[in-house]
Amino acid sequence: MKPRITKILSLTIASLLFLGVAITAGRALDLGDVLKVGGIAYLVDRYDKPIDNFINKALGERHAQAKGATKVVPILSVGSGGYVGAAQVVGVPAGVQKTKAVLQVEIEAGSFRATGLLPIGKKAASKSSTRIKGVGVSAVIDFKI
Amino acid sequence: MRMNRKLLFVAAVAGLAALIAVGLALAATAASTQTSTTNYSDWEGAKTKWVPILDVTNNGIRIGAAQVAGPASQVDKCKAVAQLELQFKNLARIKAYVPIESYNVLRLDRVQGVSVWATGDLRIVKY
Repeated sequence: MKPRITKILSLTIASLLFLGVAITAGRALDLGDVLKVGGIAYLVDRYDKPIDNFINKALGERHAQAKGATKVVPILSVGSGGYVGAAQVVGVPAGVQKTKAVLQVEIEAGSFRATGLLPIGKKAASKSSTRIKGVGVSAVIDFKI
Repeated sequence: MRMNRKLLFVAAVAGLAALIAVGLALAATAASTQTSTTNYSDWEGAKTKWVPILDVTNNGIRIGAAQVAGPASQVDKCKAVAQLELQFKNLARIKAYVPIESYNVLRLDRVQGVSVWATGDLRIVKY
């Protein structure tokens, strides 16, 4: 096969794949389809406030609501660099407002495994990511995929 | 030759359209912050400690450990973290962490100003 035709075919296949992904993303609220697109970011964007309210209400009914600011942000995995879920952060209002994501760091020491949850001010994991002071995690949210 | 150019053009346009659609679908999240009260302690010089996580659904069974952080006086009060499982519209499963003053999960005495920085568990069986 000629290199030019191969190139055209590859481009066409890639374009169709992208198009398939885009069409799927466009069908709002069809959960299965949205999640196939890796839609955790979409779900956090769409449901951040309702989930935040839901958690605060559920804890409020048990007189266990946190005093302070709260917000739902995506959880970023250090390993994959992608979104793996969401978290409700709580803390001083200024710090919570700055928080854009929670960085998930897996640490293993012998038989002890720990998962660090660091509120950060960026939506992407990088070496320069620093923990936002005065903010911590109050809930971890797993979307059903 | 003309056919090939046409194909190339169609493929490029389709790819571009798809990229724009994905970009729009995953548009930046709008920040939404809720403040229930403003009397939340600041954390400069926060103290941390590990406490057990108690499962509220299973009458306080220990299911792991959590590192809590906050102002030293509040962290000292914290004895455990109660884990509450919630279900949001068949869409998400939520584990809410409540730092508490006692090991009693029937009454959640929340320690205000303290929150979770890490969770951990012991691996019993290695596969």
